[in-house]
Amino acid sequence: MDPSVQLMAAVGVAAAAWLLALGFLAARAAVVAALPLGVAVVAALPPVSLIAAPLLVGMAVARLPPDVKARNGGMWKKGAEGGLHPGALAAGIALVLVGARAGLWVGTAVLGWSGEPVQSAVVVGLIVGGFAGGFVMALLARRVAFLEGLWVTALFSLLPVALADQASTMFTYGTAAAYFAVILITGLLILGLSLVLGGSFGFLFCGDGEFQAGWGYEGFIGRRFLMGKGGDVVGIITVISVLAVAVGTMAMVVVMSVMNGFSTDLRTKIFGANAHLLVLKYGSDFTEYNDVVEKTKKVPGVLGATPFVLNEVMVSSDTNLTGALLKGIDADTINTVTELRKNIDKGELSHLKHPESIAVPKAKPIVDDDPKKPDEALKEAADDAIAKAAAGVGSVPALGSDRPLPGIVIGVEMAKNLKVFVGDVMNVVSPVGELGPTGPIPKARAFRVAAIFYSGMYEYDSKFIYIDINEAQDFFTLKGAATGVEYKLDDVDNVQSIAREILRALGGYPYRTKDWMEMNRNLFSALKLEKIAMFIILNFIVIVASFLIAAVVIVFVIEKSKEISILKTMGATDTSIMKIFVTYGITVGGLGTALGIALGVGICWVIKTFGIGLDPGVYYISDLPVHVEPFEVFLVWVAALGLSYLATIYPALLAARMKPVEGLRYE
Amino acid sequence: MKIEARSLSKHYWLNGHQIPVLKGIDVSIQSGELVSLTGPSGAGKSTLLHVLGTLDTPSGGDVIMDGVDVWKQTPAGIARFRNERIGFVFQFHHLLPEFTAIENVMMPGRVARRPWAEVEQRARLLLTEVGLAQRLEHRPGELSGGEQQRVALARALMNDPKVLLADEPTGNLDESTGRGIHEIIERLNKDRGLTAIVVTHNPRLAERMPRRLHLDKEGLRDSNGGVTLKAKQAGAEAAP
Repeated sequence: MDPSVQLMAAVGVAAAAWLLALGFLAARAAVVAALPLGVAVVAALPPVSLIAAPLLVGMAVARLPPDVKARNGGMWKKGAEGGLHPGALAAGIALVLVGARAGLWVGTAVLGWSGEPVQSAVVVGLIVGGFAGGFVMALLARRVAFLEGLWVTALFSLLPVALADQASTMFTYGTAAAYFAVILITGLLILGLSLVLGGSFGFLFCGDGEFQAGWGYEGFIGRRFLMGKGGDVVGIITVISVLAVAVGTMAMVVVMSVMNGFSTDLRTKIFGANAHLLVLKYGSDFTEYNDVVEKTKKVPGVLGATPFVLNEVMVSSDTNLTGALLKGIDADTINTVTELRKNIDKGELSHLKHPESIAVPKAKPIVDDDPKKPDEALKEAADDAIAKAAAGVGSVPALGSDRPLPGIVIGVEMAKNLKVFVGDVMNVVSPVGELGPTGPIPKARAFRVAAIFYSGMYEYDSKFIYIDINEAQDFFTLKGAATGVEYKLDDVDNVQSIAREILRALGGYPYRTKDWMEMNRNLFSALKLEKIAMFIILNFIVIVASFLIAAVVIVFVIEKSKEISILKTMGATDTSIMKIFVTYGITVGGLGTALGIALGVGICWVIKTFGIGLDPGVYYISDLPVHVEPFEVFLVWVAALGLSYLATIYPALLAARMKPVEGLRYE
Repeated sequence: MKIEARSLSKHYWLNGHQIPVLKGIDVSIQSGELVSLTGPSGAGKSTLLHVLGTLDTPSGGDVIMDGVDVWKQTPAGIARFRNERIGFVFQFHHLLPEFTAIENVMMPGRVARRPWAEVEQRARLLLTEVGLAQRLEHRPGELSGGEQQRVALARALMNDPKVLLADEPTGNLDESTGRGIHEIIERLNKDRGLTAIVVTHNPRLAERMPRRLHLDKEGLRDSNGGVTLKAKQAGAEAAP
């Protein structure tokens, strides 16, 4: 990936994060300064907030009642605007930039991190660090530190800017700026949400200046409120909210499972036709491939190894011609690496080595001295050939030669295209020919179709052809050299470390490895991006549902303001009040996600059991594939439940902050 | 419990304007005293009661209870103080409508996270004491005004508080029902040594109290300080 592309994406994401933080600050300051809501909304708009935020903060501070300032309350001292102090801001930026560089140095030079494994470490770091940071901030500020969280997130958005030149080491996939931007936004979202979650937990359990783990009467009251007073509106809205969450969760589970089905299907087919890992050699004298196979067979994680020759060729039959990728394989060991043998639809793979056993349909006799009808003659000849093949007796040799034509294995699509069947002859033309008097002369050779395979991947079925490796070496005049050795591994996701082990066994240079991720980079990066994007988009359904929860809880808080006050007069703390309303969000989220996941998994089961037919001509697959990945279902559950919980934090805080006297004043 | 207010003041902010409610109140109420608080509407009786009961923050001055400056404690400390030491009774009983009478009475005990069985036993006892043994499982909506107020009183006594703060507990009740409530408060004061401050509009009920406070625009006057309340109050009653 071009570093400048990453830098552009990182700068864009950072700018967005800062504008968001400034917009939020501007809106909050406008509200504190008692300006109309319209002003707050306009001030929060991206370019406006740049100028509006500092002005409005100044105004809000100036208009704050003096006794609020004296008590360090509101936004003056304990408030998050402290983070906007030029000194603090500069220190924060410097800390992030220097910290990032130092962290990178420690990570790569001291701890030896590299490659994709860093990703999960970063994600775990963001979650744990964000949670802990939010918790501590809430502890210090005695409130859910939303603004501080936003500032920390904005500061962290500078991190990828500082490390843009190193980003390529972290991603095996992805070449597009959009992909990188999505990754960064996801990372910042994880951090921001972890901060809010940590902050809310910090407030829930320590917000009153003491650790309060109890959730006894809060849950009791919350659940009773949930039911309503019998036929109450809240009861009905609760049911609607649960259904909304359930529909969102169900959609996520089903869509993710179907996408999984497609990608699992694709992966299986790709792994069926391709190796997981290749060992290649710099230069064109890879003749010692058998030694390499022997040396690396014992490396832990390696299930099988086989040498191969790969070249682009042109193939032709009597009726048609097409381009192809010709692979010279060792028919004895290919079985340990790819699924080619399983994929053979007609014919026998072993005939590659023994072309004399290929059943040859007798061509229509030129001189018709047979009294039988031509069709019958042909059938008889075929039967004869099959019988001979079964008996292992050599078939009719090629014209003008005492050696049988070498065998070739082609895909069903190519067979259709070239109109050839098992036993037919086809020509392979190599562009790499010998030098003749008029320049390079293409080399052509006739092959007999030994088998036809069906891999399920249109690309493979129409492009790949296989011949025996010795035949290929001879055909391409490689002087006994192979292109490389391909491997099958027990754990495809652990390919990088196994590749390192294999290289170590071989002694490194001049050998190099190429794994399946590199070979199918664009395809898998597109799939992964599609899935992340789909997850985020589908989350919007749940976000809409959680807005509903938020609205319900706000209405609910207003309706219950009197009860909140009474509970406070009895000595219920702010955090206890918050717990009562959080109980609502958790209950709705819990019931909704449980129902949604049950429905989603149920639908997947129905699709899998009864099947939804697809047009194989279009999809190259007969049924809608479904694959339910338990971890992803868990992720969906966590996301939906988390969103439901997040939706209740703010309204629950409104309830918690309510002064005891507020609800007592009016009847 | 001894309650002391030192140069207590309270004002509200409305559109950037300061609205004073209490100005430099100094009062000291001894443990076991039964005090009435009277005054015209809007004089700040309820506000004074709320500030003394830690329900509202003072703008200035201190509230000292048994030598402890309550507002210097953590929010959890203040809440616990309120839970253990103070019982409130309001004009509008303010029961939780979703809960039965006994659940309402149990609530302060559950807030204190005391064991359920113990809390239930005490709630049953208290409700029997106020004459509602037959109404345990009724919701507030199914009780009469007087019964509701008696449930509220039982609830205020759940955690055996040292102070009872009552904000016009009889304001919504007829004369005889109101007198019944007052008699219960007087009995509690006499039998348990409960310190009680009762805000009331009813001069006859106020007269029955050994000590009377009167709050109006000029400030707080104390019957202990020899101020006659009757004349002032007659004028105040005429005002809306």
